[in-house]
Amino acid sequence: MNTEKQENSIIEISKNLLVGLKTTIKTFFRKPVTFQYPKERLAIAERFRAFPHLNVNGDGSLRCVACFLCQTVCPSEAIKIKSGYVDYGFEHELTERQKHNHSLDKLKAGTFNDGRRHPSSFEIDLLRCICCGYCEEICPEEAISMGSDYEVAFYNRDEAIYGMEKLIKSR
Amino acid sequence: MMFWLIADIIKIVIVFAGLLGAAAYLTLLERKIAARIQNRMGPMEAGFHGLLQPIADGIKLFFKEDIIPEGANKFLFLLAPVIVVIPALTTFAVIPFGAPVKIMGHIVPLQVADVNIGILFILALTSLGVYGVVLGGWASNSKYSLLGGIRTAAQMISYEVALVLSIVGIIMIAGDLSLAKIVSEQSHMWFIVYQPIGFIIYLIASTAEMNRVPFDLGEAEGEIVAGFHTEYSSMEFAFYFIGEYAQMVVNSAIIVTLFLGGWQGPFLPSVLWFLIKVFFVILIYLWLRWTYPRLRYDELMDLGWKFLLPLALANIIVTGFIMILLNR
Repeated sequence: MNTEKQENSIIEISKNLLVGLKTTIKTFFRKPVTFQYPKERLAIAERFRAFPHLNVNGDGSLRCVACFLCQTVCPSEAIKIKSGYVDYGFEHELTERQKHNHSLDKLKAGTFNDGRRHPSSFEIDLLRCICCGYCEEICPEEAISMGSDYEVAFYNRDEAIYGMEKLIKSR
Repeated sequence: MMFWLIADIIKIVIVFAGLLGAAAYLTLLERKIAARIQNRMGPMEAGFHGLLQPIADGIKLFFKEDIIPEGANKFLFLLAPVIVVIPALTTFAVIPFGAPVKIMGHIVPLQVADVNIGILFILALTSLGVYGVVLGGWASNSKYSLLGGIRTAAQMISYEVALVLSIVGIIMIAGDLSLAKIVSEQSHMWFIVYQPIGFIIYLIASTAEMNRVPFDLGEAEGEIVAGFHTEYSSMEFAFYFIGEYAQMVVNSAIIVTLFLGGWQGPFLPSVLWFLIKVFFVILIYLWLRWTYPRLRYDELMDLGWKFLLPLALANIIVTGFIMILLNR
């Protein structure tokens, strides 16, 4: 690299100064790139992923079968699942899949179940979650998928642990 | 007698209020222009497009806590900001901001005081402003403030010379020190045509006089925190700001008076012409500020002593020769 001090003539210097002025006056008349954030928002990309949320069937029953794959694959150990049976009650209208499931026929009368394991509690600590999307990728039931809500705020750490209801509701 | 007293008081009030208002709204203008040059929007929240921002800033500064650092010279510390503001406001007294108007049979010049040595008055007062900076820097009992004050003092002395010499050409052509006369001399041609080099030297030297980027060595953030006003807070800080921006208005007004034909112009009323010209000179100052980076200290001194001073002297000599040749 040439480290010698450049010998600049006055003409050269003033030319460069004028180039600077030209640059700034050009940007002056350009449209600002600012977005007034809370008032206007950038459209988020199609592949954008924020925090995961739980999907439900059309009738509102959980898709999750408590297979623990997402808990296992989660690199930041944000997901905590407890498995159990979910009792939907007699009023529940069976889905097509549930109608063909006969494994529950021997079950004691009075309880209803679709014969699948379900989580009794499903928690994701959003402060631990790194939004990597592994859980969505590995889920065999398409029960968990990445949402698009990036505006999450909490007053304390406990609030950041989302239970099943919050996870279903969140976008 | 009574008429003149009232007329003078009205003029003083108008000039005073106008200058303070202009200084306040210059902060907004500066922020807006800086934003546009950097592809941003600037203040948008307070009022329509941030129009109430200066008022909000003023109220905020007014209610801030007054902090006087330990070991500071309290009297000088409080006095220094005032010394910056007063000369800046006073300088405007001799600048004619409009053609004389006829009110109730009297011809009232639109100038607070027609001093027959107007230019000397301006030079004397504008260089007083540096005392506020130096005193504030010393009285703060902080090394950053002291460094800023010393730098500013050295810089002011260096550029004062070029500043004064750049005006000499104007005085030679006009043949008078009174600003009203200088303006009326420019009725057929602005002096910037005769003195383009003087204009450029004055523009550069006055930027340095005002401590503005690219010559803001005295308050170089990133080197010495905030320079001479590091320790200032609340209204004292606001005074420094008012002083800086009032100086900018005054310097623009001086440039308009000396080089751009003062209030003279066709069609529009003279005061309006004056304001338009001042506005455009202020825009030039802002444009310069947001274009160039700060000079290094030795570069600053080189520019002042090795470039501007010889150039100003050469300008005087050439002007003199041409005047003799043209037999004026």
